[in-house]
Parts: sequence; structure tokens; C-alpha cells
Amino acid sequence: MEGITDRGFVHRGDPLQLVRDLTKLLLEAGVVDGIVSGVSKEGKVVLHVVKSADELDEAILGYVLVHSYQGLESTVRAIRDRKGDRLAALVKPCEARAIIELAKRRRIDLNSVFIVGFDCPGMRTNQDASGEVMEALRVTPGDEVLKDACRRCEVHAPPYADVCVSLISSPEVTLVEAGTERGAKVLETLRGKGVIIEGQPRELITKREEKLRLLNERGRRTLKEEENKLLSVPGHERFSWFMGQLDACVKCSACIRACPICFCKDCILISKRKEYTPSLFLVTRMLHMADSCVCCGKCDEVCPKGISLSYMLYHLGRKFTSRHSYLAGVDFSRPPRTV
Amino acid sequence: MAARHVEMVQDLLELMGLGAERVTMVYCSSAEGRYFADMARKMSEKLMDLGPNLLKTRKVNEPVAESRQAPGDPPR
Repeated sequence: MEGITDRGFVHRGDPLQLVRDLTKLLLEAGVVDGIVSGVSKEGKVVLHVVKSADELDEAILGYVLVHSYQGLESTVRAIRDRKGDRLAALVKPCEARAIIELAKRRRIDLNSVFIVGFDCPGMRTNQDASGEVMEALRVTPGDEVLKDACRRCEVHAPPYADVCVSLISSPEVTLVEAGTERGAKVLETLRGKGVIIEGQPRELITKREEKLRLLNERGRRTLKEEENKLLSVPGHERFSWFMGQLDACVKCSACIRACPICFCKDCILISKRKEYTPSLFLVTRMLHMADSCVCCGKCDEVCPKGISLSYMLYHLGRKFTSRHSYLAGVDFSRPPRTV
Repeated sequence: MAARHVEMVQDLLELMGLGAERVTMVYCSSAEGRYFADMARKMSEKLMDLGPNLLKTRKVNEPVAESRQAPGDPPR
């Protein structure tokens, strides 16, 4: 996989329009058969794969990117379940990582997915659903409103994307870069149509890198702080905290269905649900997923009991990461270490 | 592969405050009966020293999860 090329494009104006133009082009040029997006149904945003350019006007693209769907559906799962279709998807870095993790396990064919990745400064807990959705990808939220999982995120740029869209580098313009040959071709056409222009993005690119560095550092710092804090607590207190969390589980398996990287066709936790005690249910899940957790925070969001699953999962995964220097979903060439 | 999984179990036990030494993995062949017995004995002695498993002796109190905060964290 080649990295982001040096050639950047600039888009002025509404980034949502850029996304519309880009996805429209992808459909019209036949690069993909469908775009994973959402439609509004009875006041709820549900997953829908747009197959023709006419449908695109009704599709909710930006909203889905920032807020995801109603219920347990997610972009990554949509791609995984529609194996064989050539799809394009708008993804945040964590979702892009999940796609790579699944591709390593042969659940997704990377050649059939066109990834439009966005730089993500972290999501808010109380994300305002109205107003400018795309602004959420531009403005860095403060630590106090940041989602729990996003606080400890170490990857703020999509590690693999055909087209990478970055709003974080400047308050007005959008930086667009190609990550692959495919992406470069599409951007070239888009430039021909006058949607994006070849500006002088050198400055913007440096700015973006600087911003990303700061964001990644913030995540790493939080992680370190949390870890130190956790380990400074005496063993028996840690144990009672953990058990308090684990015992609260009602085995509803929402975390399993929402997780972008839970991929087993026959999940033992679902088929043998009754045989598991609540704590064993979560422990089994943690031991199964910890090495490939991409820190998206979905499990936190969907848990009806408010268990800090991502906290436990990620800190367990971090031990694995540091021992085997394997960070989930950032390098396609490194095979997973536990299969 | 198995070793990595065992490592992960050890990590989890350590994080939970149970102690990583409660799980161990040894390599031995079918011909090493004596070695296997020794290892089993050693392990059981170690566990005797460690005392009963907290998981078994704990009192099941009301689970508390709503507080989405880590141990040692100020309330958010």
C-alpha cells in the first residue's frame, strides 16, 4: 500500500458538496456499484446502499459519517456483509482501521472497497445533530466533551484511504489527497470538472501533519495517564472495580453486534449465551478482541448498562500492542498475531 | 499462538488485580511424564501460597456500572 502522495488538491466551499460530487463521480464513472450511506426513515437514519446517482440527493452522507446510524448498524459491517459488491464508503480513521483489520482476516476484499477517509479530531459525547455536520471534523473538541474512546485515540488520520479528505488543517479550505492510484485517477477527473483545484497545498500539508502529530500525542498522553492511574490503584480495589463493571453485564450482545471487528459467523457468546456468567461473557469477548480493537468506542455507546468496555478492552490491547509492537489496523502488510 | 493467548490472559488478570502468576504455560512432550508432574506440583504449591481465588471468595455486591469512570479517576 502506498502512502499519501505529495500532490494535494484544495477545495473551497461546503465540504458536504465535495462529498456529494465525489460520490456522484464514483457512481457515474463506474468505479463502484454503490455508496454506503444512510436515508431518513420515519425520523431515523438507517443504512442504505445508494446504487444510482439520482438517489444520492436523498442520501445522508455527512451525518452518517459523524453520527453513525440509528441502532447497531455501521459502515464497516455493511461492507463486510455485502462481500462481492464494489462499494465506496466514507469513513473515519477508526473505521478505516477496522476495514484493514477485517481485510487481513479475509473478511473484506480491499480491492472492492473504495475508501474515502477523513481526518478526525475526535468526536463529542453530546454531538449536536443539527447544524453543520462536517464542522465536527474540522474543530478539535476540548478534552471534557470528547468521547471516552476518542480521548485515547492514537490514530487521527486514515492509515489507508483511496482518497483522504482533511478538514483539520484550515478553517476554510479542505485538503484532498489521493492515497492510491485509483484515488489519484478519481481526483484527476474531479479536478477536470473544476470541483477541486490544484492549489499550493504544501503549506496546508505541513499544517495537517503538525496538527495530526499534536492529536496523536494527546491520545498517547491520555493513555499513559490512564494506565498509570489504573496501575497505581491497589490490586483488590482494581478487582472490585472490574467486577462491578463486569457483573453489570446483561449479556444483551449489543457490543458484539455493534463492534466493527467482531466477525465470527457463529459467535459462541450468542449461541451459548445461557452458559456464560456476565463476567465471563465480557472477559471472553475482551480476550478475543483486545489485539484488534481499533478504539472506536462503539461498545461504550450501545451498552445499555453503561459499562466502560472500551476502557478495559483498550488497556488490555495496549499491553499486547507494546509487547508485539502491533497496532491494529494501521499496517496492512503485518499479519494479525493471534490467528 | 497459544502462548500469545495465555499472555493476554495473564495481562488481563494482572490488570484486574488478580495477579498474572495464576496462569502459566509450560512446554513438555508426552515422554516427559516426570517433568509434567513436577510442573503441576510446583504450580499447585504456588497457588497454595497465593491463597484462594478472589473470584471465588468475593461477596457478590450490587454491580455498579453507571459510573463511567476509571478507578482513581475524579468523577466526570
